[in-house]
Amino acid sequence: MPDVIHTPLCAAGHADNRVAGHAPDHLADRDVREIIRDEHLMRRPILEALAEGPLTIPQIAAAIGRPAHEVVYWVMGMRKYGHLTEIKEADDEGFYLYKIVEKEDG
Amino acid sequence: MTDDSVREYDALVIGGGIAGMESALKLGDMGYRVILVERDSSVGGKMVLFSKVFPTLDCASCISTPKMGAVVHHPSVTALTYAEVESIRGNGKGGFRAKIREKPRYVDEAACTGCRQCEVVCNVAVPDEFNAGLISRRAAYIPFPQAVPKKAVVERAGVSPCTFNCPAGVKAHGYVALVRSGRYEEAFNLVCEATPLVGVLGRACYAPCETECTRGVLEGPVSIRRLKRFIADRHYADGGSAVEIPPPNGKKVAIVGSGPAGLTAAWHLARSGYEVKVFEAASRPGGMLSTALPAFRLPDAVVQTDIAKIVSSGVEIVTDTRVEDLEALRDMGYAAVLVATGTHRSTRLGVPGEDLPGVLKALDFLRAARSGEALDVRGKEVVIVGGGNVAIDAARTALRLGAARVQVVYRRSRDEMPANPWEIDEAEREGVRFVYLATPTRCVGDGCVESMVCQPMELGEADESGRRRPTPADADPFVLDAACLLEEPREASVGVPDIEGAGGFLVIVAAGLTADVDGLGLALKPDGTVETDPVTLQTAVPYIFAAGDVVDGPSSIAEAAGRGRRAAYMINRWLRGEELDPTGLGDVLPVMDKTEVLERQESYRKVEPWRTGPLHTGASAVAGPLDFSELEPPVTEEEALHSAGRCLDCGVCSECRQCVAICPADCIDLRMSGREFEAEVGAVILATGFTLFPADAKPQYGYGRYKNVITGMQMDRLLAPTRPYNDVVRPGDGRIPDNIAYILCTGSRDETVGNPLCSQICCMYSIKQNQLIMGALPLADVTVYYMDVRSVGKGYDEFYEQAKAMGAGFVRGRISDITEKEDGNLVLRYEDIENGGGMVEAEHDLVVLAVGVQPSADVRSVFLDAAPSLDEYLYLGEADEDLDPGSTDMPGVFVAGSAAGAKDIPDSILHAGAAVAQAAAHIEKGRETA
Repeated sequence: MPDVIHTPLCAAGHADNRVAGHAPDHLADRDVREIIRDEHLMRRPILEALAEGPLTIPQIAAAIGRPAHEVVYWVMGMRKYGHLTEIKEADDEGFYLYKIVEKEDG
Repeated sequence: MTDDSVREYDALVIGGGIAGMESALKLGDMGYRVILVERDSSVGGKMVLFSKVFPTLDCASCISTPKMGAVVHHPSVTALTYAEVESIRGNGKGGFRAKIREKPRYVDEAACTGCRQCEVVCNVAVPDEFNAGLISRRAAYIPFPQAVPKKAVVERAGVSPCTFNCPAGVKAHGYVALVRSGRYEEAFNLVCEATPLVGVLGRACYAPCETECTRGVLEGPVSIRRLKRFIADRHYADGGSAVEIPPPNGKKVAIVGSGPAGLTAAWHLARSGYEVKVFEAASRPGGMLSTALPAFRLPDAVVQTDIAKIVSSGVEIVTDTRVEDLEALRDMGYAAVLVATGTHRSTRLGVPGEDLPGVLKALDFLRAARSGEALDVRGKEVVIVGGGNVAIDAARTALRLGAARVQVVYRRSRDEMPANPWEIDEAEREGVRFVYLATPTRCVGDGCVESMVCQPMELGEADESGRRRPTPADADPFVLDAACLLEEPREASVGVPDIEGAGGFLVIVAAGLTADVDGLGLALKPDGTVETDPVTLQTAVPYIFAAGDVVDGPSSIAEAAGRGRRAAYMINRWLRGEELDPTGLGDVLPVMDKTEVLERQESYRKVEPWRTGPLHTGASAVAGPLDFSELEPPVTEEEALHSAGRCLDCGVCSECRQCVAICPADCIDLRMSGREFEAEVGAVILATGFTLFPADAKPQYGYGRYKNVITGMQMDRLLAPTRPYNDVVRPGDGRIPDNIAYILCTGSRDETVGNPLCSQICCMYSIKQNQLIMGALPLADVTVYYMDVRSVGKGYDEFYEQAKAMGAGFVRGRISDITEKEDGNLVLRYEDIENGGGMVEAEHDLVVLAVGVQPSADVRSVFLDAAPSLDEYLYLGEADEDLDPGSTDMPGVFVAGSAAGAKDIPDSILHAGAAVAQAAAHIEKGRETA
């Protein structure tokens, strides 16, 4: 039976569920499978964040209130399945900007 | 599915990587008949996933794919992908008998065009093992762009417990996954594939899906039922999509009864092209849904909205029409008749005085309350007899009608009560009192019931229902009467007529329900329900079927709906002259094991259900008068997304069926089963390759914790033409790295992890990557931390020197540990051997662990007799690797490539050649002696 770790809940704004002493700090990050499972859930907030224009991964992370490393999984997954694409050149700090792929059917 | 015929081949090759493909191709070229078995859905192994090969820097996929295509299309080679060898045993003739299982792809391989549309619409995301976990793939997927065969696979690990436990056959996991994706209308339509009672079940289902939800093992189950309510409310609020009506098939079906079973059957039959007419004896359709369930649990508008949808599918419903002659329906042109009249006859208590005025049947009481003609119970002492949901509904209804006090008398204890525990809880919170272990022995009164005498009971042995049987206790009877009143009457919320002849004391009997089908001429079971074939639901009269409570006795809405669905399925088959085979109704896979699901992750973030405790919060705070308005609050979109996001995707594929709907080749079949067959083979070549060292087994390097520490395989994927990202960027934040470190010998030449062997490849693949990075990221610095660089091979040392000349830095020193900075950069500590041996720190923004390789010898477990031995390092052992390469210590069994020890690609191909020669010699020898 895996450990159940207690970390703050998602961006939806719920109460902090951290239970003191329950989980070692080094487990505070989520299992990759759990992050990836959220991709469909996070699609809409990411698209909403990008509706105003292209953003970098850290900018998207700030906009939706999630860690950048989790956003990398979601943005790259959305890119793979045709929702997003990058602007060709990275910015001066080495970050690519990602934008919504406009679809014919809107 | 098992194929009984035994196929014959000269050789069996296990593993479709470069060594396996080479073995099969060479044997095939020699004219031998070969069967190659690869467990993944494509041949190609690890090689095709590399960026380039060293030292030539040829594109790995460019040089792999011709071999992949050749082996799949070779006339002498049968290449099975997504298949496994289950067992191998000697055949007594120098050869072997192998049992091979082709796993179901759930995709018609011949029809699939590899268009990927199934992937795009799939609603389940899992880590992509073909991209080393750097990105997601879908449950429906093509492993990688160059896959051979380029055919989709749907990963189905089993049936998710929620779906498996739905008696209505609703794909619960499917609609949860669709809600998670924001596809609410598709979710609604998926439920309609099982039953049109989406709004009803969204409110009044007892949710066995949630009882079995794996998330319940953690913080609590996913609120699956409320998600159904959400999609129903959303669908109807948006106006609902039109129901597609198929062209009529010219046949008519009559359904008697418009409860959940009848309505569900009508829906399915109408959508199969039948002209369906439902005959309802009551003045409103819906059966118990419309007449008995209290509005505070199931508002009438919800029932009527679901029914309106059914009517829009072409179903005609006539009310106030009691059918008393089934044969007459036949004469009216109905080709089949379904009896689904439910259980509307109340069971009598069987005690003296039960016919006194003031003793009511619970169903009559609820029906009257629902119709607005409720009896006046204001200020009265009400006793409910029974322990089922009807009893609880009656008790809560009586409270709302103004009863001074309501007591439920039940002959067993609370643990045995058939009512749902949460219904009991809520009744208690509203003020209902419970008298357990008591049974009425008589009702007493002069002109009307004035009291009820009860006998205390005790529990004995379990009866046929599994519940402990109540028996009279050695205690004096007690009396319940109006004198028990302790409170002032509650204020009633509705004006109601008085009860004729009743006094201040009422008894409402909820002791059970039975079928009421007298006069229909059907064979009945001893309990009064209709006798049918339990599988086909056909009665002794072929054109008459029966389903729901009228057959099974009182059940739940979901159970009745499921029986209605089954009845429609069987009627359709019967009317089409097909065998009444239920195969198409059930699940093709077993239910997922919850432990197996939970073990997929090392840890789980705690995500509480949106709300815990009583959903019906209105009931928990009984400050003012209760009324009949719906107790459960509506579901917000935020709550729905939160709840759906808690789903663990137990079965992987959710059965949302979006892939089925969109596939232009109509090639997805989620009911596909695998195939097993046996093969006689002359020789076996094991080419099962290696596994990569798990980098997190060196915790001092932080893999899995530090976002910008990756493995060599992950970097190879980032550099490959089919890379998961748009460029080489850090997984931590998507930034292009400019100062990359390599740590060689991660997990190889390392006694601390039990692997003293050199991996043979990590130096060279790192140097290859160095050159590729310097090409892709000209401004990036690359530093390699090493103990010594082993560049043994043609052109390898030149390749190493070339990397140095391009600017790669090489620092001799073993990294002791790594720490992560707030910006995601990494500080490496090492002993600077070439500059005096002091401890030095260096900061990098990306660290690549050049992981070594490990044996992959699981294949031995398939040998039922003797198995080939392992060498001291647990690779498949060779009898004499100098003089007899490729031979194991088991005659007829050979090993090719890195299954025998770490090798680079050229050596793997060479070694496969040796194994092929050995196998050919063995096959020829067998032919000579045959």
